[in-house]
Amino acid sequence: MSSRNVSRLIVCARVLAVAVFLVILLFPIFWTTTMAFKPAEEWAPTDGTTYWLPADWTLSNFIRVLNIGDTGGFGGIVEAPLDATPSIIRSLIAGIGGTLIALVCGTLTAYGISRHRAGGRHHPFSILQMRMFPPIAVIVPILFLWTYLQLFDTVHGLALVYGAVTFPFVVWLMRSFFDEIPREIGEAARVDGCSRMGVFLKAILPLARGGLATTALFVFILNWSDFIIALSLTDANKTAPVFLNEITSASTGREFGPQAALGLILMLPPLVLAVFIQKHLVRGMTFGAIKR
Amino acid sequence: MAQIELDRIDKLFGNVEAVVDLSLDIPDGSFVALLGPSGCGKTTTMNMIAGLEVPSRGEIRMNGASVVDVPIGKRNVGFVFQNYAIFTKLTAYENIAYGLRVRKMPAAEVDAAVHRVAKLLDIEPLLDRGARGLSVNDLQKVAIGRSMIVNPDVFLLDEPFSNLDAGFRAFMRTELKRLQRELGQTMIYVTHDQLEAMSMAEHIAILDRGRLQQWGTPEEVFDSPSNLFVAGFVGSIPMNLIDVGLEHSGRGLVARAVDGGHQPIALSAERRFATTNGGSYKLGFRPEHARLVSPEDDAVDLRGTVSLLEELGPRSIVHVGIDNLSLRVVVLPSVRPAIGERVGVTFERTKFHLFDDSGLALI
Amino acid sequence: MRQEEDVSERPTIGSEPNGIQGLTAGSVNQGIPAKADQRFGRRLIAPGILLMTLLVAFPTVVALYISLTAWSPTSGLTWYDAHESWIWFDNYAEAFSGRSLSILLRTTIITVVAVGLEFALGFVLALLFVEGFPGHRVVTVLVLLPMMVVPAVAGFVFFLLLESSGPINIILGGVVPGDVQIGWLTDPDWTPVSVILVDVWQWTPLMFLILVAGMLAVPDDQQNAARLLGASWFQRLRTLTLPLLKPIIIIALIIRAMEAFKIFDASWLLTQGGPGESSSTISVALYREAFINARWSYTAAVGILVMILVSIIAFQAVKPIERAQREA
Repeated sequence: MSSRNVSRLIVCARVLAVAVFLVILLFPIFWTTTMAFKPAEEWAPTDGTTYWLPADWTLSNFIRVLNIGDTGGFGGIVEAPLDATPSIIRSLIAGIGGTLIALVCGTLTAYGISRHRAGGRHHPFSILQMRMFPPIAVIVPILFLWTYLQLFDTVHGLALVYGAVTFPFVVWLMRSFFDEIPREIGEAARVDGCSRMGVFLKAILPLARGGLATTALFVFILNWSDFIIALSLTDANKTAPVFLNEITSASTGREFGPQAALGLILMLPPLVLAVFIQKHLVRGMTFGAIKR
Repeated sequence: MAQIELDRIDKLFGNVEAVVDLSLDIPDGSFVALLGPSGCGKTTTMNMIAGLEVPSRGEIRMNGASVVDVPIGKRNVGFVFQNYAIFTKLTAYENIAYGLRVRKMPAAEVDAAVHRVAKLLDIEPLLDRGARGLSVNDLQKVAIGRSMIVNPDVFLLDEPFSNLDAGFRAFMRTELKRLQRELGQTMIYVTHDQLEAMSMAEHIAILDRGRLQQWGTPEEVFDSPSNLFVAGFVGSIPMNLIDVGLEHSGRGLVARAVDGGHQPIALSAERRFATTNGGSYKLGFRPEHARLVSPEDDAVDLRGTVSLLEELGPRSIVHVGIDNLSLRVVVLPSVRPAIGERVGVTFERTKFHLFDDSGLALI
Repeated sequence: MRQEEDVSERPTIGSEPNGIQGLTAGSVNQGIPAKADQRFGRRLIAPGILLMTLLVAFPTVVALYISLTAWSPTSGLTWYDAHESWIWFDNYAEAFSGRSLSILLRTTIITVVAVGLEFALGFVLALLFVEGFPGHRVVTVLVLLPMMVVPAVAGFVFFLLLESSGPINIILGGVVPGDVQIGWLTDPDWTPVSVILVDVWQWTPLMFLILVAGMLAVPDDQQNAARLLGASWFQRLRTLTLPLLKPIIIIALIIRAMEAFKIFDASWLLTQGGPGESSSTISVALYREAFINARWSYTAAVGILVMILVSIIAFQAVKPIERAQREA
């Protein structure tokens, strides 16, 4: 066999292997997606048939979980209405709020570290340390404070915690972006008579726009994805992931369809936003340690 | 030790013709330069000989046997890259030893070979240094040593000295020639520097835009360029090229310069060839084969005014302007005409060239 | 003019002139800023410090206080009166009990197995990918999908898959002779495996991304030079790619391990850490103590211990990470 044909065979084998990997990797998402469109009879059939694809595509799961219509009692199982919409809204508010808090504090701090040597040599260690804490260790103390301040079970209280938890992340990321901007730009602006704050706002920040956007999206995804903090700090005012957990572990009925529908809805924002941040994905995931 | 034949090679990248209908016969043990401007296809050609690229059409043979299907590692070809491609995480020793270790040679033999090569290249004290600690000149030597050590049949070098400082470049050229003569390997050297090619090679292949322009010894391409491109490319000082019309007269061939008032220039009548009276041709002669004379002289071919004098030490170049034309004449340093002075130019009748309108040389 | 070291003349290839990106404060050619600059710097970091003080430092102090008592929200006391049930270090003693250590051990095992699998699978995937093939850009995007799924949803997704009538058992039943009835969510031997499964599914793509980026960093010329010298694909991998990859691998493993240690979402959504404590990670166990057993003082003590432990590890980890980053 000529070397040209051998290499072609190898390419085929590699493509096949990657395809297999891909199928395994995407199957869970596939299953959840199809489940979201299955009618009640197909969720957990007792007669041994498996519905790889819905035989009867339906939007009723979405209707039910978002409480935007009447689903006619779902084939006889009379359930209390599910309404995930308020929880989704709360996830959004807390996510955006937390992102803003972390972004403002974090960017200022990152700039201070990058340009003004603030914080001394200790902060690399402390940032690493903050990232390593299991959130639960931090939550119990906050719980005391929150209950006392009546911030428990509020969206704004949650947003504050989100801000604090993702603050180190913003510092780390924005610092790596600021470090890429040449110092001469700031120096030139100072020579031109800009105040120090002016240098930051008018000269440096516009250049870091891309990094800022990427960081904001990353942090929002982190906040949107949070589960444990919301689980601990909310009760009636729960966010969407907590709501999902509740209807999953409830002992009354197993409504896989609507649960899958909610799961799908929850998956969407990060997937969409990821398109915009994929260039810096590795940098973000390794907290600025590795840049492609 | 290999003779290499390229037989009607074509190489296409998509729609781009990198190499077109190239045929070369490279004798065993010779030093050959592939010369040409950027993008002429010389590096692509060398990559094909090495096996890094596959020709779209045509055959490559080494010692008579086709090598197109032989995989890269098995062609026994040494390759020195323009940017050395030194393995950055390895020491100089490990770089040089790489080819032998890959072949699983025992460590003692590897050691002896590495030291032998290092002594030849005068880099023995540097063997333990990592690639990051070596100067550019030393890196190049390591690259050469790395390729040498496996005794390749053919040695391919891709503009290896273009990144070195000028003094070291000249030194390395002589070193390389010496090595080649000692080891007797076939060496193919890619360069865009015609001086380098002329000084080092036994044979030169000149390429332009993927096509072979001329194959010959340095003397041949200098004295008898086969077309306008070669004439203009070879030679440190560009050849003078004049648009002329040709006619037959009683005394033989006469050229009339378009610039300079159609002065008749009598050319030697020995070479007869078919011309159409009046067609457009180019007359070429090298500044080294021209002389400055008084404009009243009988033997004057062209008259003009001095526009510039370049004094280069051992010789000077006088620029003479004639209408739209600017001629160059090499003179002794003692000749120092004034700017604006009217002068005459003559050229040696045994050393001129005529090119037809497609650029081919007629003489 | 003060002579500053010209960083670009340093004879290194591809080194980071600013030292550790994101890890060290200040870069080589930064002089000592003027006093006014320092003051401004302090003002810049003030909001951040305020945030951290309010939400991290202060609660931690309170937690320290509570941890030395036996207070719980059901005791009827307000938290600042907790000193009424002072028990000194009893909570801490209990934290070192066998039960806690077994949870620590389990979490460590889960972390090691999960990260190891992610690395191995990510490496194989990267090798398959690195020399390119038709459509690889699309495939790259697809491979990244699991990373983007909210971890809680990932837990839910695998809940769907792994429950007893779910597709995993069905597929396995089709492949292996006979029926497969693994109790992924009910059998204490299998529940930790389920947790590992979710983490591996989610984060193998990240390892893959990092490794592919590293493998592509070997310049083409060097690869070609090695091929011309007769090196096989495997020899090139071992001698060229892996040495270049080593620092990146170290960073990736450390960061991934840090995250895997904190696993909560998957475990909670699958089994709430059960049955018993078979799939409880540290985070899950702490959560249960705090919110199901309402033992806040004990949880506070364990939390403080974890912080101390983490600080020690972080302190040790900074140097290897810095060194690895310098080489990367």
